[in-house]
Amino acid sequence: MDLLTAYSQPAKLWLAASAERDSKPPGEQGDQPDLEARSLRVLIVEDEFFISLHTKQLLQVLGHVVVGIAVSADQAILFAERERPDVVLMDIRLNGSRDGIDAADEIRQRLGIGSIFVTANTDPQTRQRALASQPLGFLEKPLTERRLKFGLSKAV
Amino acid sequence: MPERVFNRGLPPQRIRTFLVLFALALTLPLIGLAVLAFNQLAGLDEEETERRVVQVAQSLVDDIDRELDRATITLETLATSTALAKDDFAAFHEQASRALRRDKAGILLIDRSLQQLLNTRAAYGTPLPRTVDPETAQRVFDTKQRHVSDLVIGVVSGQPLINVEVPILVGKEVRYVLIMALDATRFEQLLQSQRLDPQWITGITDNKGIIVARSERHADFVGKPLPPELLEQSRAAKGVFRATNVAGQGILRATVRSQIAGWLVSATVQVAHLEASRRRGHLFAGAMIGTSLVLGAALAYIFATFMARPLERATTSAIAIGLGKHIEPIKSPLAEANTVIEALSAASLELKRRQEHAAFLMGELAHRAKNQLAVVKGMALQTARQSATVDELVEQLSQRIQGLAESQDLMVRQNWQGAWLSDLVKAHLDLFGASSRAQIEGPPLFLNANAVQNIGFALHELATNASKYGAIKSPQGRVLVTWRGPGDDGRIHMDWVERDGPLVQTPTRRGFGFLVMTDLVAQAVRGTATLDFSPDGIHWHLEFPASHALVAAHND
Repeated sequence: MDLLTAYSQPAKLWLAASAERDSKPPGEQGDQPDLEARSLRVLIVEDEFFISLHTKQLLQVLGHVVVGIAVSADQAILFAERERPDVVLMDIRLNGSRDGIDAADEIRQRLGIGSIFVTANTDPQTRQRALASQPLGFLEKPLTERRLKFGLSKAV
Repeated sequence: MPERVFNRGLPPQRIRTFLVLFALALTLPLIGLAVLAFNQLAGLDEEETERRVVQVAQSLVDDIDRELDRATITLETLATSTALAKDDFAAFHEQASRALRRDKAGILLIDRSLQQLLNTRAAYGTPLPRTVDPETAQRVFDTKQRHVSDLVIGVVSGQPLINVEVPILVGKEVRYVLIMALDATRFEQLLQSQRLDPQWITGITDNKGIIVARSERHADFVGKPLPPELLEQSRAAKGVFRATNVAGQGILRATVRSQIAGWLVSATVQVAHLEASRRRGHLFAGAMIGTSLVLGAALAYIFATFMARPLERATTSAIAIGLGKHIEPIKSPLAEANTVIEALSAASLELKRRQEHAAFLMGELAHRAKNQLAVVKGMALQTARQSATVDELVEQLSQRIQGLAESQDLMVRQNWQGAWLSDLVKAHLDLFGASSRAQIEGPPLFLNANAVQNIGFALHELATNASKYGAIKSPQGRVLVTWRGPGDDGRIHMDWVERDGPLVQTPTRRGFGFLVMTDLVAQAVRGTATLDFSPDGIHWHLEFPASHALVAAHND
């Protein structure tokens, strides 16, 4: 819980780091819903914090709310159960015995929450497995604002 | 040596070619030897035939001379007759007729005028002509010696015959010549009695070259002259010679001269017969060689197939491997080929495995590269957010990228499996030239890739901080990096403690680096981290689940 609350307020940290540049941090826009799409509650599942921080900032720019960042399949299921997000941005390769496809499958079946896979080059077999879990879509790493916006539009 | 020959333009040949050459190398000398041996045998055979021809001729001469001697003895016995001494010719006629009995012969008596006084072929008292062979009779009168005539035709019998003539001496004078006229057919019978094979021809020729008797077609040839050329050869020759006989046939001939009559006695065998026999020999030998060649070739073909087929399979397999196909091991009759094909089969499996592994690695590499680019992108954006100036951004970003590179280097060396924690600590301290001043202690711990990358980030931020404000900045400063575990709690505990550095002041602002050291890394490894700013030096503590360690020494 501590971690989650800490990440929901990253702007303070950036403010502390360099006050001038952070006068208008993207995170502050997160509270104002985008005119084109409704604001989504999003769970990020990604074990590289440099990537997840970036994703989080992009989501906030797009007016969505990040309900948590999970680093493993088990954590993803735990957070999804607790936070009931609208959508999960799921990395396929995760540290641990289960991967993102397993997690997405379980979250969809147990909670009816869809996932969008966010991954680097995926081999055909893995992609086949991922498709079988009926994802909302696929997004290529590294994420860009446009890609993310397009990907999420399907989840709305 | 073979390589040298085949490197000089001679194209490589298939194994079948060499097997054929091999078979020829074995058989040709044997065939050559067989032909040589056969010819040698044929030569011996010919010598044997020649010896036999001479033997037959010699044996005939002996028989003829014995016959003439027998006639002489009969005549000489009659010469002592008292009836003859008393010139009682009628009684002597009677006596001579008895002596002849059944012989095909006649006995004649002639006087110095060469007038026949009696002839057993005619009844006593019948008027008789002069002798038909005055020459021989005259010679007996002159020499007082026995003589044998050449062939003559009897006046009384009208038959071809020869005369054996002996002198009848009264005192030192030859008063009469006693003659036994032997029919030429007697000599023919003599020749026949040798019982030679039909292809053998024997013959007797008198001193004038007239045929006295012949073993074959006697009646046709008796009284005929021997062809002059043959006569010449017969007279001149010693031993065996080749010639053409009176019937125009090629012959092998030996001639021996009779000691008594001076006749030429010949034994001949037809060359045609000898050649036929030799041809049969050749044919037999040829058939033998041919049969063994065919048999040998058939066997050689079968055995060659046992060798060539598996080798061709091996060759096909080798070509198939080049095309990336899988090869099934087979059981062929050739052990070496089996070994080769087994090796090729194993190689094809290994090749397939490596190709798959290479494809897997390529995919893995592509994935990791792209993922790392996403990490670097995030890193750049986060660094940019907290940098006041472009210089600061460039410095911090390049250092963070360098730190990431250090962690990655260690993992590449371990095939992306992870890295030893001690190596990770050393690498990040080395980046600031501080590993010699550090005390690194802990059990051997091999961390997975995720932990290596994240703890690497934390270590990098710690070292950066120490070099700017802490123990690495001052020359006497020390860094103690220790870890322990996994203990009963299943967690690994790691500490970074700085000593003897500048006096530590709790910072008023907490930047991104602080967040990395405390929250971000800890969350990424599902652990917790604390950072204390005690005046002696900062103390960073991280604990994380032991599942991040792939290999850990037992810690009691």
